Amino acid sequence: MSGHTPSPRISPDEIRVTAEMARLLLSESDIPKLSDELSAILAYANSLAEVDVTNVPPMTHAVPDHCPLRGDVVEPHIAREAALRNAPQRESAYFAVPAVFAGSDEGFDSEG
Amino acid sequence: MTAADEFEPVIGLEVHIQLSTLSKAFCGAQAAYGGPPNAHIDPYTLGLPGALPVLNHRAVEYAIRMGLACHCDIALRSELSRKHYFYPDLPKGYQISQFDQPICQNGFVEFILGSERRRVRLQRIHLEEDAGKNLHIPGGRTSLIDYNRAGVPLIEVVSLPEITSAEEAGEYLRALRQLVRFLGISDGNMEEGSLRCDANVSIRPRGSTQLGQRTELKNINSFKYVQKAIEHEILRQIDVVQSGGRIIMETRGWDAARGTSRSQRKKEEAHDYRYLPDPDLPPLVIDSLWLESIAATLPATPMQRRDQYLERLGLSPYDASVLTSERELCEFFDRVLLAAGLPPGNTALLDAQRARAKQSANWLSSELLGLLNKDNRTITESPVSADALGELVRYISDGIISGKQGKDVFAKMYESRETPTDIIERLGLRQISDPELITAACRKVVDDPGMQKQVEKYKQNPKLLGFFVGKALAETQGKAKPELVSEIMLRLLSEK
Repeated sequence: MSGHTPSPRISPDEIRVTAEMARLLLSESDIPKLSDELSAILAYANSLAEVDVTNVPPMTHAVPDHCPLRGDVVEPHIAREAALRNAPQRESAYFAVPAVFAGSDEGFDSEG
Repeated sequence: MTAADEFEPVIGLEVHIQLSTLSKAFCGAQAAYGGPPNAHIDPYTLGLPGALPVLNHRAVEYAIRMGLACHCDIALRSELSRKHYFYPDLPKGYQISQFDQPICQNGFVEFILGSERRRVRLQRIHLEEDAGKNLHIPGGRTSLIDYNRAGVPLIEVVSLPEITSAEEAGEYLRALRQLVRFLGISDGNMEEGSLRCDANVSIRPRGSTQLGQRTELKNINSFKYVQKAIEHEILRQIDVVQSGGRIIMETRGWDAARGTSRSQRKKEEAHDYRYLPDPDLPPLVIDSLWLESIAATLPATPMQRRDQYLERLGLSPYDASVLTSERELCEFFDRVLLAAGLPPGNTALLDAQRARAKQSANWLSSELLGLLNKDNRTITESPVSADALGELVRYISDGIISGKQGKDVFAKMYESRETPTDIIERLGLRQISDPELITAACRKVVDDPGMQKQVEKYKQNPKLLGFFVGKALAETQGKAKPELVSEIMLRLLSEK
């Protein structure tokens, strides 16, 4: 666990921000424990930093493959009724969600 | 110098353009606009567990087409990444987009501002998928979601911050719309949301080279409002700075109904999208042969057409602008030119041919488009075909009918869809340009015993020539070519 690169610690504030972005509801008492646990995980992963990767091209996927492409063809859809049957809430042909107000922190529309 | 002159706006646009593919970017659900709510959905669109993305070949091709037309560097290897945020219109909890390795980088878009040729450089063009649509019911406790649009392929065209006026931003955006329509990759319809624009606006003291704090304007959803919204934001920022305030980085939503913008999100709340390469999608690798074939079949851009019309045909900048406003119009015009007897392609033209091209442009832009506009018809709905219009131009420039007769024939063509040949034959309009026939008609007039008094008068007063020409024209029911009649009559009278 000891390397040349010091292991970064995940601060309680970072835990709070991350939880909020992931829409996780944490109680204040969970936070110190999570901070310790995540810091330990990060420190473990940080041991990879000891490997010399000079001249090794960065890799984002484990499979040495190219993105397969599909033809531009319309394929069968799900029947709307079948899709809406599992919705927690619906209104006629729409999925219904708690009101998202224009001007709320997410804006009028999504990011696009 | 007014207060506003002390500042110079700096504008960059991020434009989202829906690609007109049949199916969505990563699944086979229909990509068409509209439809009954939640009709174009499948497991992937809804983000159901286990549904995997497979990229649409045509979406990639369209993005490359745009990149090539904008002179971008096309990345033979690019990355598809997940952009995470939570919003009900995004069922997966992330949008597939491109982050640090977009498919197109650099490049530029050219357009005409006033009478000047302008160039706005691009930072990038990347591929991504659209989100669904939210319906906010005023005062309601729920919002309604339609996922038809979710997953429709988009390109995002990101300009460098080098646009310097609201007017220029408007022209740049119009040029993008025109370009995607010429390339056949999108309908560019802002009202239906297939083209959407966010503007990054900042101001700085005129002459400064540093960028000021910017704000992001969202929700500008019509051409009408692009200029207005940006103009408003520039003035708002000048106002803030002049009253001693400071511009803060924020997102502002344009409210077209009120003609103003309001803050939606401050910097402190700015999102961390936690981009990461999508584990479901290996790198996008473009085969160089494929790239070459896309380049080889790339349709001409509006600017290329414009240059061709100005340089080869000698049209005026105004005519060139009108005729390159829509791809269909360009194609119609090209067919008119062919039918009028001009050689296709890029061969150089003789002066007479350029005159004929100019004549064709006039008939199309002032006569035909005039009537079509009046009747609210597009060029594709024209009752006069390109072939028929070209034929008419040919009859006129070959001197078979006069320009004035041409107008009558044209009116009948528009009304009845008849060809000019049929109308000219039916009405017996063929102009007589046979010197023998014209000489005979002229001789009949000057030899008429009842005319001798006038012939004598003519010798004192050559202005009477018009009188004799009129008589001779009447002999031919007005079909003789007036210039020829005049020439022959002059000769006959001088022999008297």
